[in-house]
Parts: sequence; structure tokens; C-alpha cells
Amino acid sequence: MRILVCFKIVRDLDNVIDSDWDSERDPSFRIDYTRKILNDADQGVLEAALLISDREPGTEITAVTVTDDDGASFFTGLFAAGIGNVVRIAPEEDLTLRPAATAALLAQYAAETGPYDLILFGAQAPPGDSRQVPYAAAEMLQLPAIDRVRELMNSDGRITAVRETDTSLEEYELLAPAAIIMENPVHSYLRLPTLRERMKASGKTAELIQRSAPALPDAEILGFRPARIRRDGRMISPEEAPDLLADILKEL
Amino acid sequence: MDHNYSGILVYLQQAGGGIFSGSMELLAKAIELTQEDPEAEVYAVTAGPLSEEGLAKQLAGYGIRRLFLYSIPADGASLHALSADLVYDAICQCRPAVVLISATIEGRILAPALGIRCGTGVTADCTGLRLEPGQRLIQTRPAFGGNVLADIATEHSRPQIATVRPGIFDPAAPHSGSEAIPYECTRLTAANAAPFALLSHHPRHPGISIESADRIVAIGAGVRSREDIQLFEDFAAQIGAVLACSRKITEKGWLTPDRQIGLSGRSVAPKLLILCGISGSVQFLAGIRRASNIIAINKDPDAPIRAAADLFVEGDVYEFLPALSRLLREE
Ligand SMILES: Cc1cc2nc3c(=O)[nH]c(=O)nc-3n(C[C@H](O)[C@H](O)[C@H](O)COP(=O)(O)OP(=O)(O)OC[C@H]3O[C@@H](n4cnc5c(N)ncnc54)[C@H](O)[C@@H]3O)c2cc1C
Repeated sequence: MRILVCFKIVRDLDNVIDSDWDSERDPSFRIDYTRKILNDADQGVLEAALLISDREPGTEITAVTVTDDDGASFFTGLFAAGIGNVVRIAPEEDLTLRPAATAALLAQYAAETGPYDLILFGAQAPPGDSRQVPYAAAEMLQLPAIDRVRELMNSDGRITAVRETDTSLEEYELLAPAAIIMENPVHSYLRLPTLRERMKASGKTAELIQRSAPALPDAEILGFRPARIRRDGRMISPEEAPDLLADILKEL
Repeated sequence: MDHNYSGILVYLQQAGGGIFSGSMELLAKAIELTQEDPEAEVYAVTAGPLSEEGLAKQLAGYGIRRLFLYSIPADGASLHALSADLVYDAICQCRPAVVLISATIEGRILAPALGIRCGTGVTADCTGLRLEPGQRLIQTRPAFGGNVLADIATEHSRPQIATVRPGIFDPAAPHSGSEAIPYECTRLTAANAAPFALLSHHPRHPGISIESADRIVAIGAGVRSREDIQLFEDFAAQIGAVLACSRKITEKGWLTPDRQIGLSGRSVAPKLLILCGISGSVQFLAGIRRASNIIAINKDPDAPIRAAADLFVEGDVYEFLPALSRLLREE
């Protein structure tokens, strides 16, 4: 089986100093001091691919990301965890909040190096969190897509997906090729490689592809405005709080 | 750019034997946006088992120019591949300048697929929409974990496609109370098709809507065990609130995803929001911006939720809630 996992390296927004959000300047310039992390939503997706490979030895996994960032330390971690091939597509343009262009680069790579049985995505990634990239890429590749997948199972060449909607749990049999968009995966973290696996992976490097994004008509940003909610945060002691709250409840 | 596009097409998602409330909000917004521009018509498209008669009452006061109604038989599965074909067909027929879709599970799949088919930009999860001369749509959406608002325009292509989170706009029919406004209906049929074979389907409780709740009690990782959820459920019931949660709770499977507040959950607008053991991550805060009164209960006086709350109770939620509950019962 051949699996392509699309992932992203992002800034840890929880580490941004509060006042840095209160300016009208382009925020991407103001948060570049924060540490980089593997997008939370993608960890479980990489792990899902590895679990498939555990059950079906010989599975070939490629992890691809679109970033202008070198990201070498992350790539070593991926190799060490068992990902066979890591690819970094370096765009010539700034693709911040340009989901269609990002999807086009991923779809182009998948088309050139495919066919893949499964193309896996995490549901969303900062800074846009628009959830558009997976669906747009699937549409470009003309692949059937299934989203909100919590778990993938495979045995005897059969692949099934557990999908969680607001009101039901559904199990589907997938027919390859398919695009899978995972959300709240059951195994939400990427496995930690051993020191030995890390040492073995230390010489490996990600394949670098430089590309210009196709001229797709993404919506364009006109400007940014601060949006942080800031309220009083008036401290009330646990002793006075019940009375105060009871009053508020009566009023509202 | 082709300027031969005019008006607004709203995708009406069918749910529970009617049109989903988030879609009705967009219909009302579309009517409001086109009020200033006599050239701009409002169109609607819907696909599902509802008949024209079934829809007529709900759509009566809205002033739709033309409804594209695609009849599809209902079935148990929620995964369909069809909507994009149908809505694209409607777009080709009415050539709208703007397409509005509710940012539901279905809408989130539909919008990017349509964007690629139409070769145009999509703005997801808008919280504000403004129509400028020339039917240029200014779309406002949160970015960077909800800390920043971005104003966005689709400058070089049409239609301009936007999704909007449910609960953002008022669903009231602009012309309600007046005579039913007739509209032209184009009826089409389509076969239902899911791209993958459904092996099993386990419905759970009927979905509750935290988006439309006036009072919400939300719980986070401060809750220690699944069994303890009942304590909070009881307190919520006592004060006429619904129970919601942070992602830490849905991740554990203690509550279903329709109860999750935040960036990857729902955006809520209650009059009263009581937060129990929630730290206030940027992703959580993205979902509570429109709450009127926020009270946070947290052991940690430095938790970021304090700056986002009106009142902050520093304390153990396991001690505080029973005390409050007792007091309310006594009164
Ligand atoms: C792409 C992405 C999307 C995300 N989307 C969402 C989303 O939609 N919604 C969401 O919630 N999260 C989301 N998250 C996760 C988010 O980053 C946080 O992990 C999550 O919000 C934390 O939940 P919490 O506040 O319940 O838990 P924690 O951050 O662990 O906070 C628990 C709090 O409880 C307090 N506490 C503990 N015990 C008690 C007690 N006995 N009494 C009182 N207080 C107590 C602690 O002091 C602490 O402040 C997302 C993350 C990413 C990367």
C-alpha cells in the first residue's frame, strides 16, 4: 500500500505574548519568535499511517509539507518514527491564508508521484484553520473524500474508517484511492522514537522541491484587526461567589 | 474578470424535516445585503428529501427570486458526494456574484469543492459580511486562533464563496408577517450516492444545539472523571443551562463533538456562560467571543481564561459548584 500524509509545521500560538495581538500589522510578522511545533491535528494522522504500516508491512509512507521553513529537526523525528520518505515543498510565494494554492501544490505532488492508495490530512492548521486544504486537494485530484475520521483499520487488504458525526458513529469500507481527513483521532500523538531510531535517522534528509504556486484565485486579505476578547476578569472569592452568582442567575 | 454575475445564492441545508437554522440565517442576511442594490436578486438551492410544499411555509416571508430544488431520497448515512455537483449546477444556471453556505460539516466539504470547480476563492468561517458597490463582498473572519480578524475580498473571480458559522446572524425573515412572497421553483431529481460503503451506523442522542442556548455550563480538563460529568449535568439542568465542553473532554469521548466549544468546535453566544476548569486556550476562546456574561471558575489565578472572563472565581470547582447549587435550592 502507498500512503501520502500531508502535514504542517506551525507556530505555537499559545506562546504569543498577549499584547502582540493588539496591533493592526500583519500578525505573521509578530509571532515569529514563538517556537515551531508539528501541527497538533497532524500528529494523529502520521500515527494512523504508521499503524496501518505496522499491520501491513511493506506499506510505503511519504509525508509531505508545504513550507518555506527548513524544519530539519521535525523531519528527523518523522524518519525516526518510521516514515520512509519526507518531502518539503518550498513555495516561491507567501502562502499564508492561501488554502487553494497550498492544496494545489500538494495535489500536484500527489499526481506526479502517485498513485497513492490513501492520502491523509489533519482537519485544520493555523494560522487560517479554514479546513479548506484537504477538501480542495481532494477535489483537484478527483478523489472521493471522507472527513471526521477518528480511526483507520486495515486487514487482508480491506480498509475501514470510523467516522464520528454530531449524532452518530459510522463505519465505512474505503475503496482506494481515497482522501481521508482525520479529526480527534483515537491515537492522537505521534509515537516517540527510541534513541536508537533517532540515531539511525539522523543522517536522513527531506527531499526539497522548489515550486511556484499555481495562480489560483484565492480570496485576498485586505487587512487585519485585533480581535482578542478582553474583559474585566474581576476576581471574586469563593466565599462571596455563590451569593453573587445566585443574584446574576435571577437577573438574567 | 467576468462581470456577468449578479445576486446571492444561498445553500439551504436540509435537517430534521426542515431547513437548518444556520441556512435560514444566511437567507435573511442575503436579503439584507441585497436591499441596497435593486439589481441583486436572492436565489436558493437545496438538495434532499423535502418537497416544495414542505419548504414553502419556511421560505414564505423571505423574498427569494428562484429556488433550485434537487430531490434526493433520504437514507441513514451522512456522507454524500452529491451536493457539490448540484450546487455547481445551480451556480451555472443563475450565475450569482456571491454564494453563501453555512459552515456545518456538510458546508465545510461543499465550499472548497465548489471553489475549485468555479475557479474562485473561498473564505471559510466568516463572522461578518458586507456588500460594497459592484456586489463586492467584504468577508471578515478570525485567523491566528481567533486573536485577529482578517478582512478578505475575492478580487479577481466570481462567484465570491463564503461559509458562515451558524449562530452569527439573525434568522428572522425580513418580510415576515407580510403576504407569502411567490418564487419560481426549478425542480430536479438526483440519485443519492455515498462514495464509500456504509458498514454500520450507530445513532446517538438527538443532537443538542449549544449554538442557540441562552445559558451554558462548560467543563474542561478540571473535571476528573467521566462519572463526574453527572454533577455538572445536574447543575446545568438546575439553572436551565445546557452542558458544553472544551476539546479535552471530547478527546476523551466523555461528551460528543456537538458539545465542543472553540475553533474546531462550535461558536456560542449565550447570555450566561459558566466555565468550570477551563484554562482559556486561544482555540477555546475563539468560540466564546459572542457570549454576553462569562464567569470562570478555576484553581489557577493566572489561567488565561481570567482575562477573557467578566468574573473569575479562584477556587476548586468541586467545592464551589455544590455550594452554589445548595444555595440556589434553598432560595
Ligand atoms: C488546531 C487546534 C484546534 C483546537 N480546537 C479546540 C477547540 O475547538 N476547543 C477547545 O477547547 N480546544 C481546542 N484545541 C485544544 C486547545 O489547544 C487546548 O488544549 C484545550 O482548549 C484545553 O482544554 P482545557 O482548558 O479544558 O484544559 P487545560 O488547558 O488542561 O486546562 C484545565 C484547567 O482546569 C483548571 N483546573 C483543574 N482542576 C480544577 C478544579 N478542580 N477546579 C477548578 N479548576 C481546575 C486548571 O487550573 C486549568 O486551568 C485545539 C487545538 C488545536 C491545535
